[in-house]
Amino acid sequence: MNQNPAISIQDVEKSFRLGLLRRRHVALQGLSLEIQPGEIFGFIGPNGAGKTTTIKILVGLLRPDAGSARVFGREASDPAARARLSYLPEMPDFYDYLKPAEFLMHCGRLSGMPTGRVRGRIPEVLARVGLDPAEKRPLRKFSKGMLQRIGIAQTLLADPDLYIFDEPMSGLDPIGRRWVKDLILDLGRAGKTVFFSSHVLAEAEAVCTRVAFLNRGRVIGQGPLAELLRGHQTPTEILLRGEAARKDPELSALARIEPSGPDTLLLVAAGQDPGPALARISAGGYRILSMQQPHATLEEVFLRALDGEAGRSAP
Amino acid sequence: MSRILTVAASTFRESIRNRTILAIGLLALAFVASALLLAELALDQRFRVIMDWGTLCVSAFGVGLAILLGVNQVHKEVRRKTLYVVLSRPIARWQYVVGKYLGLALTLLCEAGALSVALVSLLVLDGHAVPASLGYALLMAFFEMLLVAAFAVFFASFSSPYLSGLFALGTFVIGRSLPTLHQLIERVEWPALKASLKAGLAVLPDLSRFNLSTQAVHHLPIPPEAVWLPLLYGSAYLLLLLTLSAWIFSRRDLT
Repeated sequence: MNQNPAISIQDVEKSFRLGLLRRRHVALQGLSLEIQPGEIFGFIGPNGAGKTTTIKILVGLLRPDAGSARVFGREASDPAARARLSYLPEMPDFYDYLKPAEFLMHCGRLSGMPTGRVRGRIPEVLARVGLDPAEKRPLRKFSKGMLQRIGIAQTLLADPDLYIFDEPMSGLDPIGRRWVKDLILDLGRAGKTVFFSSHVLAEAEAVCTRVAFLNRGRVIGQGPLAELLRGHQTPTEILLRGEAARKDPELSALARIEPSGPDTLLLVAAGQDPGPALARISAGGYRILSMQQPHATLEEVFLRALDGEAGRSAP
Repeated sequence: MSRILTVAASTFRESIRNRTILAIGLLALAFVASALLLAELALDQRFRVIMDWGTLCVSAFGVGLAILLGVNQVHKEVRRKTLYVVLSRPIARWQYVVGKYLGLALTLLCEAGALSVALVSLLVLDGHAVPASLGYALLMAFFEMLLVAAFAVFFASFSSPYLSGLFALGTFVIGRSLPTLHQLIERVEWPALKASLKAGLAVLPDLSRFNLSTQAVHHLPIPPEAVWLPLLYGSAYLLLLLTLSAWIFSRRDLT
């Protein structure tokens, strides 16, 4: 069966007029992305890169100047496209005087759920996000972390196919971040599509199956996480006891040598076979203390992509 | 329809629980009740003073609340992003605008209803018969509030809260003074200016048609057309304003 992508963004452009002089600020330029159902997709970029603008286009809050944004094959501006998605804005704030159950009833009814079904789901989702289903306080008395939880509860209510989270971990303590991470993984296991933006790279790395890097409104790299990490190899690090190896000319031809306290660190370039260096170590009688090849982190991959972009755009 | 009613219900619930709105409502009740104090100064004109002051309070507080709510409802939701979780659901923007307006209208109905009950109670307590024309006067005052609220929502769909408030208040003041302004325009001698001023005023609603308090105070008969014609005229205005507001809001980027 030919299945529509969960999200399809083609050559989207968006700019805003800012300030008194109404200067044109380009937020997105030629942005293209495709996310398949069941993916956990991380949308990574620094502040001001255009992540929130992209998300707002997907949920129908903004219209692109050019290009198209589709959700499960429907134009994002069509209200029917939003029947299969739910959205958590960054740092959400809700109605002051509504109680959690009232707010969720409001959200459920807007999603087109029958009253009886919403009523049945409210205790379930409140319990799932760790809030007391009998909570009677109005939302204005909730802490930031509790508001984030009620924000996530409203996304779970209609059990949609696509979850769009804008910086879901920002403003949360480590326990809250861990909880959101686990929730995203649970949704992925349940076959849901999760599209989330983040600049907390370590946490994105822990949950994504695929990522795209965004900078100044342009995608500067994307792909499956494992592939991106593999594509950015790091040097093999061999720690040798003592300083004797530092003056070995054969060894210095095979690897970079750096002092490491009283010992010596050998760095065999990424992608190069460490065999010859190991043979020379053995022949020279040097003692290996440790050997490792640390894998690249998402942060390193992202920073390299940024550096590459800066190099390309430099005059 | 259910989505419109859901937005209306939440808007109404938020408004009636809002402490500022409650405080305004209580202040309005106190003002209406003060009609009894003013009546003490009026000797044999007690009925007239209670009616004049009471209908003035119902109308003034109602119009004030209509402007405050109409201007702030959408702006507050955009500023605080509460709107995002609403419009990211399968709801059209026009449904949101109509729902917000209905919620606002329900809040105004409660406020105007409570003040009207207070005014009628004062008349009864003071030993006066309640004239049937008071019912018409209060109905028209309520409709005027609805119209002013629609103007506030319309201005708020494209300008800042302060400007929207000023525009809505200006529309109310000019709308109430329209017959006087028409008389003044007749004195203008330059034909081009006269025609353009007339055209300008033709766009604005004649809110003086909704003011039947004089007839109620003086027990003057109110012909049926003095009620249904303005209601028809006001309904057409209201529909036009809501359509324009929804159209503008549908094209707006929510940054």
